[in-house]
This record gives sequence, structure tokens and C-alpha cells, in this order.
Amino acid sequence: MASTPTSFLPVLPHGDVERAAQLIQQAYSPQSHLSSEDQRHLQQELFDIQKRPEAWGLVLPFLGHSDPNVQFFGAHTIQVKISRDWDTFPEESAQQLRDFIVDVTARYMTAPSAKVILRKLYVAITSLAIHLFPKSPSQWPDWPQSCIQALSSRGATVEALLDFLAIVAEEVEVVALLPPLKQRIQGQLTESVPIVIQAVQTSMSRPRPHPAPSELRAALKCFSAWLPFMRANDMTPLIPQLIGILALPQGSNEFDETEFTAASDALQEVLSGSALSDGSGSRTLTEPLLIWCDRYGGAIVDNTLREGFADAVSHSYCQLLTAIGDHSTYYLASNLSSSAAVAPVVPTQLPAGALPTKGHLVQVFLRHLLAYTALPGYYGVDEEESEMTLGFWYVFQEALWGGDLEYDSDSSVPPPNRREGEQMTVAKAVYGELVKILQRKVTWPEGSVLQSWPQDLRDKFQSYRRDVGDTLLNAYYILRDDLFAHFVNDMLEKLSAKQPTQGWENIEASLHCVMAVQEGVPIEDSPYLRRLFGPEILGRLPTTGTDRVRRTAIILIGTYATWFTTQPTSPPGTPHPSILMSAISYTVSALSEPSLCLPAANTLRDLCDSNRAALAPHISAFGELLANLPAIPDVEKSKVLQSIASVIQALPAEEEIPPIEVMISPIIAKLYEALQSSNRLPDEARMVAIQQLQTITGVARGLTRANDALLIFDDSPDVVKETERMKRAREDPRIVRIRDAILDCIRQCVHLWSTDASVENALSDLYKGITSLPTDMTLLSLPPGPLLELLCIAAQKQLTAVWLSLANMLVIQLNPPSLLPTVLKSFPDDSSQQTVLHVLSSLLPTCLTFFSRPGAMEDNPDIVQAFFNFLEMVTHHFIAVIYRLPADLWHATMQCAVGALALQERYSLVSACTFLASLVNRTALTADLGDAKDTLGAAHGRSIMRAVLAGFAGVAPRSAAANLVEVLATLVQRYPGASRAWIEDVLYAPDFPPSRATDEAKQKFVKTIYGSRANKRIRDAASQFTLVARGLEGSSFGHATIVL
Amino acid sequence: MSGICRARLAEERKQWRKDHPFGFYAKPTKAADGSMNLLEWEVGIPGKQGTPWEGGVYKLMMTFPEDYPSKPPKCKFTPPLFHPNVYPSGTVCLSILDEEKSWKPAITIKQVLLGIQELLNDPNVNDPAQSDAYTMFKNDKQAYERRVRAQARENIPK
Repeated sequence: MASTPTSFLPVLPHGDVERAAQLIQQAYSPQSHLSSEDQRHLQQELFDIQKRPEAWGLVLPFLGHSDPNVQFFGAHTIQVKISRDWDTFPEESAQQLRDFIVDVTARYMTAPSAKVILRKLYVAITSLAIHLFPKSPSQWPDWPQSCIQALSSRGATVEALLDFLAIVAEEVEVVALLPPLKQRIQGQLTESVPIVIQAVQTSMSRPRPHPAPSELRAALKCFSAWLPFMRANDMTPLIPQLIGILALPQGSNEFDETEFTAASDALQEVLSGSALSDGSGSRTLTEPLLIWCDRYGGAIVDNTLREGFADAVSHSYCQLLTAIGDHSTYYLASNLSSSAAVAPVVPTQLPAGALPTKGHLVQVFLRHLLAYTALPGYYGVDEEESEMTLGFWYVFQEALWGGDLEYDSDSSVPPPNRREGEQMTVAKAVYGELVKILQRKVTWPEGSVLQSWPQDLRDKFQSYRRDVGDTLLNAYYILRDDLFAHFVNDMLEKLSAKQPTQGWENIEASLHCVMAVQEGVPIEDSPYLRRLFGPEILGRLPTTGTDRVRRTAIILIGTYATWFTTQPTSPPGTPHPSILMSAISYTVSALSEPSLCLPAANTLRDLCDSNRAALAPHISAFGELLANLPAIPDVEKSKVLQSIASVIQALPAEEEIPPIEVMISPIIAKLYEALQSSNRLPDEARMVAIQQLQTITGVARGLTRANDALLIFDDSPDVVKETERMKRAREDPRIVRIRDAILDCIRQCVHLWSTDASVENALSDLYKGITSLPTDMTLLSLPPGPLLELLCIAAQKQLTAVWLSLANMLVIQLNPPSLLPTVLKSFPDDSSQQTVLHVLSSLLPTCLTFFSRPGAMEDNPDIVQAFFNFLEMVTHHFIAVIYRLPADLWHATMQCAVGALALQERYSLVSACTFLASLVNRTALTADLGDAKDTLGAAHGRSIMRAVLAGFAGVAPRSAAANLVEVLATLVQRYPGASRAWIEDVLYAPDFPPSRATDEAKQKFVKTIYGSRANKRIRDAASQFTLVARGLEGSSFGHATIVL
Repeated sequence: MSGICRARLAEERKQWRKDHPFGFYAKPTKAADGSMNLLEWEVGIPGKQGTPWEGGVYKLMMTFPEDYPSKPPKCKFTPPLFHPNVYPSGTVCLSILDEEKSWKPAITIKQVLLGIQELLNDPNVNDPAQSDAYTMFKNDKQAYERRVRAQARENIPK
């Protein structure tokens, strides 16, 4: 097989080689019908064989085997051994291996052999060169050149050499090496560029049609692969030649598909992945290409429209156009209406005086691209090209705005204002045209056609419609009201001409387009939107049936829910309902249609939420809606009630009572009923109860004012008055009864079902929805105290993070920010303090018992985290209560916290740290706590300190070091004297965890901390100590991963 | 915005337009006048087929810091999502988005979004970010799945 010495390769017994060859034949033979399990098994076996050092012995016999599959495996083995197992190869034989591979490759190149085998050999050569070239001295200094010489002297064809060179470049481009090494290897390729250019150019210069099309393809592929290593100057001379190949062959009126697509691919690569891809080269690249488009592109586009679809040449032309668009966005935007003649630096075959203007070329380009956006038929079914063009319209709008990112970053000159003048006139014309095209492209086919579309085509079209929506938004920024004018006028026209038998598809498409631009539309009155949502359009859309247009119209209304606030309101009973009320009616009429109920309920919720004040006078109409509500799914019903509740919220507080009563009484009744039937039908009763809890939550949310957390700090007379009014209304016996009933229901639910995950979830949502700070108080808001009490019961039955998180929230509500700011800081009142004391006395034993189970803390990071977050909140708001706890309970809690500092679960550890730091700080800073600070220090100071230091020394994960430092810094700051004694005591105690820290390191640690007691010094000292203690000092890993 | 950050985001956008997984979307947001804010992207992540998340496309805002890509983007579901590793604020807790854990400047936007899609049906039990979803996931998988399906229904694309 080989003419070079191969004695460095091991020789295997013939039997072993044959067995391995049989395995390969079994695995690769098309005749063997293996199960996937067997196939996997065989592959694994082959993989294992390849991994052994002796596998080198397979190479020679395999390459000489008669079966191409075995030959391939031989080539594959060389490549794998070099790239994966290089360390096991004897270094002294490297040169021999090099000569051997080149020799084998040359033989394969000149014999008829499968390309896949050659490819593996090329990759193997490159992998080997990547090992040998960087050695000092280099063991393969001029490898690309010497390979070419060796291979061509052995008779390799130009095409094969071009293939080889392409793979060399591709492999070097993707190889994972450290940057300096990679740069050296890339530098070697840059030096070899001239031989590549020469080879490519020779092949490109042959007469047309090219005598060996596959060679031309190989040349252009090689050129593309080498682009990352070429300077702009290297490739510029080839561009005219490339564009020349795009042209019609002499005497022919048809493009040569092979030549055209190969040249187009190469040019796309120049535009997107070369030294020119940043938009540079307008006179060497952009203008010559635009001139070409002007001269030849029209014929391709015309032919496409004539044929009704894009053939391979046309598809490739579309790709080329989008690549030009991406590359030259800025040029196209700046020269949209330029009357200057182009000045390409390359010959154009055009006489000097006949050169077109830049504006002309840009507009031709845009026309061609628009033609692709507008291809006839449906995307995904009849064509695949229109989607490729969408991205351009997006970036082009940005370039027109002058904010193009790739090009202006180095320029100190501000971009010209392109939003005015002639430029803008042309841009508006282009985008106006685009909008009409997109409107057609997003139109669904008639039902009869759509029926024949499989689901994946529908999904694809749906996704395309979304992407078109993004493009339309860009058009909106250019066209503004003109865009609305177009759609509204178009819909009016189509509605007038519509025959009853015609479908709604084109109207639906327009509604979809208007919906897509909503996020750009300012909330201000618009005559077009008024007409759209008025009797002329919305009023003429169907209100029965399941046509898609109803769904789109409903979602459109929901999307524009806030826009309706710009409209004048009309009192109930006016002959012409306001457009808001019309929109509500349209939406409500869809609730009874099962397929529309979900979007209708969502739209209703959004409309009511955004237009509370305008709708409040119509509350009786909503009463009717409630009374006549059709049978709809409970989830949607709950949204309808939430909608109504948000309208009720806009009424004066005392007027809210009757409608709330009407709305909520049946829910409570149903809930009681469920509770009473819980014995007989436990599952059904539970499901009904959950639904009622969710509905009450919806109502409570609806009743909550829409916004303005800032009102807390608003002491304006109006706010104060409103708050007083709410307080008075809350005392009304009717609403007191309702609140009591809700609380009673919650109590019963807790007793019956609080360990059920869905009930717990529903109660959690209700707790969040029905409680608030005093400033956001509604008629239904429940006081935190009783809810906390119930929560303790639930936690006793089953402790979860949900109950602890709710406890956290309610503790804040027990000590709300003062409504009327006073000079003196407000303290929580006695009853709140008493409540918290009760809660702690119940929750702490529950939690401590739970955590005392072996592994409980490790297995439940959520509960540990929620527990310490809760404790932190208590120290924040009720520090005094902590010191009223029974001593043994408090002691056990502290032990638990200190123990948590050794947990490996980051979330648990962090929350324990935060709690301890906060506890120490609050205790030290709060007056009136007597000797609490000293007691805390004496009882727990040393044990906290020990846990922190042990954490540094290796007990805690390093990622939590920053949090431990926080605790350390707090102790040092609050107990400057005592803390030093604790540290020294802990560090030198015999029970301190074994670490790499020497006595000297410990001394240094203490000295640094107490040198200044500044936080930064403490952090640095702890960081250094952590590294030393873990033996990471001086390692780059240690320093690179410092997280303090 | 630093040159590196800007160039990288521009490149990310180019790559995304060239090729992105089906059903996802990602675009920089725009100011009222149509000018672009590269540092904030609106993206959509579809739930995987065959999981309780399917059918929904979940909207997320990606906010890139000035020193991106040295620092990771912040990813926040709007509205917040019911999921064990999503904070009540909507912020996603995922190791590849944590600069102290697995964030690497080479991670692309596409990889981040695929990572989040993966996380949807494969939550990480070490990162309890919200108690509601985490507790339900831990204590009653069936009830959890029902809740997730209900959420998917609310997130059907328009």
C-alpha cells in the first residue's frame, strides 16, 4: 500500500484485523438490518477498538482493504488518533507519520476513490500539521505549500487540490486552540493565500462555459473557505471575475445554473464573512454588484414572475440580494434618492457617460427585493423566498433613521437627518408598497384550501405572520398615519364590496396588520382607529359563528385596550354608544362561543382594567352581563368577574358595596356548599372550592387600584380623603359580613385541604390578592393577623415554602410604611407585636422540628431559604419581638441558623447569612433593646464566628464566600473587641476544621482585618485566607475564580 | 455602550436573522420614534412539543449590561412565569445566566434561549426561585402539570 516506511506502525495479527473489518462491514453494510440497539452496540465496540493504542495497526491493512467502508474507517482512524489520542503517539515517529499520510493521500487522490475517504485524509493532514507546525523548531514549517507541491507532483488534479485546500482552511478556522497558538497557525495560512488565489484564479479564467464545472465549483468553494485569511486587497482583484461568472454566457440567453449559484454563493460569502463584510468596499463590491443587478437581475425577476415560482438561479439571486442588503444597508439608505453617478473602481463594460445614478441603482435593487417579498402564492406552500427578505426591511428602516450600528461607530460626524426631504418621499413610497404586499402575504387561504394544509404548514404560516408583523412595525415608524389610512380605507372598500358568500380572509389580514404595529402606536386619539373601532368597520364584522376574523378582531381590541382611554365617554342611555362600549359589546358577544371565550375574556379583562373610570357609569350594564352570563369555563368566568370588579373599583367606595355583594355572594354560597359536601364528594367538592377561591382572587385583584405604588408617599388631601372614605365604607355591616364569610371559608379550606397542592396554590394566590398595604386597601382586603394565624395551622399540617413566603409578606403588612409621614419613626403597634409573637411561637417550633430530621435541610433548600427570609423580615420589622421569645426557643433557632452556614445549597446558605447579618445589625442599632446586643454576642458570637471561619476554610462552597464575609464584617464592626477574641479562639482551637492555613497565615488574616476594619480590607483578607486554607493560593484557577 | 458590546449584539442579531430555531423570536426593542435599543430585546420562547408547556409562547425581556458579553444578560419573563426557577419578578435563575456559575462570553443568544426552553420542562431542584411553583413541583407533579397546562393556554400566540 505505502511506499514510505511504515515500520513505526504496530503490526496486528491478521485474525484481529479481520474481526475488526467484519464489525465495520456489519455496521455499515446496507444489507444488515440491525436494530438500533445492536447498531449502537456495534458503534460502541468500534469506538473502543479505535481508542486502543494498537488501533494504529489497523490503518495500513484497512486502507488496503477492498471494501470502501473499511477503507473509510482506516482514514477515520488516522484522523481520530491524531486529533484525540495524539499524546499516546511516539513523538520520534511524527515525521514518518507525516510522510506516510501525504503519501497515502496522494495515492488516493490519483486513484478513483470516494470523496468521503479523501476528506478524512485531508482532515488528518490538517490535524497533524496543527500539532507539528507550532513545535520549536517547527516540524512542518511550510506545510500548506509543501503538501500542494508533493500532491501535485504525484499527479493530483486541480480540483482535488482545491478540495484539499478548502478543507485545510475550514479545519483551521474551527479548531479549538489557545488564542496565541491559533493566531500562529492562521498566520501561516495568511502567508499561503497567494498560492490559493493563483489556483482559484486559474480555474476561474478558463473559457465559458467552464470545461469542468465541478472544478469551478471546487475553486469557488475553496475561495470562500479561505476568505477569513484574506485581506481586502487579496480578494478585491477576484471580485470582477466573480461577477463576470454571474453574467449570461456569451451567445446564450439562459443562466448556467451551476456557474451562477457557485459564483453567487462565493459573493454572498464575500459580503457576509470576509474582510469586506463590515459594509466597506462600496466602489469595489456594492456598486459593481448593483450595476450587475440593474443589467441582469430584471430578467431573472421577470422570469420568476412568468413561471410563478423561483428556480435555482432565482432563489440564488434572492439570496444574493439579501446579502447585498445586509452588507450595504447604510449605502442603500444614504443613496436612496442620490443623483450622483456611481463610480465603481472596476471596469463595467459601460461607457463612462452611461453610468447610472446611485439613486437609480438603489431603487432597482429595492424593486427586485420587493418582488421577492411579493412572490405569488403562500409562504411555505408556493414559495420559500419572501421570508428571506423580511429582515432587510427591518434593518433598512434603522439605517434610514441614521442609527445604523455597524457603520457609524467610528465616525465623529453625526449622520445626516434622513427623515426628511426627497429621501423620505422615496422611503415612504417603498414602505407603502411593502405594506400592501405584506397585507396580501399574511392573508390566510379560503377555508377549502386551508383544509388541505397539514398542521406543520399552518404552524409555519402562523410563525411567518408573526415575523411579517415585526416588519410591519418598522414600516409603521416610516409611514405612521399613512399606514392606518391604507388599512382603514382598504377595509372600508372591501366591506362595501363584500358579497355575503365571500370569506373574511382579507379583512382579517388587515386587522392582523393593525394589531402587529400596536406597540409603536402612541396612546393618543386617531381618526383612523376611531373609524376602525366604530360602526363602519367593527360594527360590520360578524358577531356570530367561528370565523377567524372574530378572534382577530377581539384580540385586536384587547391589544389596543389602553388606546380607548383617549376617547370621550358617553353616559348610559345615549343613542349612539361610545366606541368603548361598542368594543365591549363586540367582545362580550363572543363569550358564549367556546372557541372564542378565552380571547374574549382576556380582552374584556384588559378593556375593563384600562378604562375603569369611563366604564363605571355603565355599571348596571355589567350587572346585566353578570346576570345573563352564559355557561362558560370557570377560568374565563373568573376573568369576567375580575373585569367587572375593576369597573366597580372606579365607583365611590360606598357605592361599590351593592354590586360587590351581588357578585360575590353566589361565589361564597357555592364555596360553602362545597365545604359542606366535602365528606360525601371529596374530590368534586375540592375542585369546586378551588375554583371559587380563584374567582374570589380575581375579584379581589379587580378591586385593587390599577397602579401607583407611589401613592404610599402621597399625602395630598385627595388621597387622604379617599382613604378615609374607604375606611368608612369598610365598616358597613354588609361588607363586614362578606369579609367574615371569606375568612371563614379560608379557615375551613385550611382545615380540610391545606395539604392538597392545588388548594395550597389557590390559597396562596388568594392571600396575595386579598391583602394589601393600607394605602391599597379595598372593601374586601383582609387583615394580616387572622390570615397569619390560619397559615400557622397550615404549616403545622405540612410545612412548605409557600406558607413561609406568605408569612413574610404579611409581616410587612403588619408594620406598613406610615400613611401620614411623621417626624418620629413609627413603631409597630402592640397588637401587631403580639400577633408576631404568637406567629413565631407557633412557626418556629414547627420549622425547627422539621429541620431536625436528618437531611431535611439539605433536601429542602426552598423551605430553608423561605424560613430565613421570613426571620430576616421579622428582625427588620419586629426586632423587639425576637427578644421576647422564650429563651430556649430562640437559642434553638440560632443554633439552626449557625448550622445552616455549613449547608452546601447556595440559596439556603445565603439566606442564613443575610438573616444573621441583619440580626446583628438591627440588634446593635435599635435603642430600647436593653442588653440584647451583649447577650446576643455572649451567647452566639463565637459560634457564628466559628461557622463563618470554618466556611472559609472549606466547609461552605466558595461561591458563598461573599455572603460569609458580610457576616464577618458585621461581627467585626458591631463587636470590635470581642470579635477579635472569638476569631483567635476559633482559629487556634483544636476542633477547627483541618485546612492548609498555617499559623502564620492565620496571624496575617487577623492582623489584616483589625489593621483598619474597613470592609474592603476584611474582604481581601477573607479572600486570601479562603485561597490559602483550600490550597489554591498561587493557582491561576484560584485567583481567576475569586468571587468576593 | 462599549464597542465590544455593540459589535457583539449587532452580530448576534445578524446571526439570529440568518438562522434561528422554529417558533422562537428575538428582536431589539424600539423607542417611540422607531430608533432601536440594542441593549434590550424582546424574545419569545415556545414550549417544547410533548411537554405540558407546548402550545404556549412565553414572552421574555433580555436586558444586556454595558459590559456584555463579559457579563450575562438578565432574562425576565413578562408577565412573570409559574416555574420553580423563575423569581416572582419573572427573572430567570439559570446557571448559564449567572456570571459566578456557568456564564461564558461565547454563549450566544440562541444558546441562552434554547437553554431556557430546556429549563421550562426540566427545572433545577437546587434553585428554588419562587415558592409557589417549587412547592407544587416538589409535592404534587400532577397538579403542577395541570397548572402548567393552564398557563400554556393563556400564552397561545395571537
